[in-house]
Amino acid sequence: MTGISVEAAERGAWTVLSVHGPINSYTFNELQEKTTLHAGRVDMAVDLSGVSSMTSAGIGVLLAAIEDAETAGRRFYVIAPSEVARLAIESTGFAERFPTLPSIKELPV
Amino acid sequence: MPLIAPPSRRKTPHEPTAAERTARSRVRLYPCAAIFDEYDGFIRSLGFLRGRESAMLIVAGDEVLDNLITHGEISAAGVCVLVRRRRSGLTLAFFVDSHREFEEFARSVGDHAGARPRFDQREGRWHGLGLTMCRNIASSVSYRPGDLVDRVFLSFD
Repeated sequence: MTGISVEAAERGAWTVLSVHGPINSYTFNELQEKTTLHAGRVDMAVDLSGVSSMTSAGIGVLLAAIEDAETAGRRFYVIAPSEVARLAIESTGFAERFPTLPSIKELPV
Repeated sequence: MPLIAPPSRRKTPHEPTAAERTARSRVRLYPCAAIFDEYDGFIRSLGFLRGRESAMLIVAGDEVLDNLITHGEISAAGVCVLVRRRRSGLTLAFFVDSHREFEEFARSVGDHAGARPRFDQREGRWHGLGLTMCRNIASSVSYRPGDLVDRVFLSFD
């Protein structure tokens, strides 16, 4: 899978973006467009369970979305990151900046 | 001599064989959108990797490739990737045609060793984030410019 798919869905008060495929310098724009559209405007969660790889390009998009959410007083969660997505987040050295839940079912009301 | 050792002489699943201890594999990748899929597929195909090693090589290697691509350092000749198991760990190496930007980057890495990643408001992007990720995953990361070939070596101990 060369590209990524980013699908948005409403789940109660939350907008959930489900990402599938590799996030890198070729593909991060699609994720960035969707996060920019929603971050800071609604409570947002990004499901990374289908992410096959993620470089700092993707990390940067997530950090920007988290910052936008915090600035606007909105909630933000990363959901169920795949093994490589979790390792990419941990490798930044500031994984605590990424609020993470193990499952979409854990999203607060 | 039987081809399959009797149960008492078989290796346990977690004990590497002599071949696995010295295994190596290489691939040449070309600059295109599929390069990450091809690299990740190559890593996942290596039977001598164990546990989290595949994930570590994918995250760190993708980061190196992304950096090389972003700065236009992979020529039409592509990039040669080598994975080798050493006695005490793994080496991941990248070999590309020499490029002026690589030399400058290698110098800046040395000048800013230990620097934390920072967000450039004007450019709207992070600097040093990928390098930090590689350094936190690998035991060592070195960028070695050359007259003909530039090399990146990552060790995982």
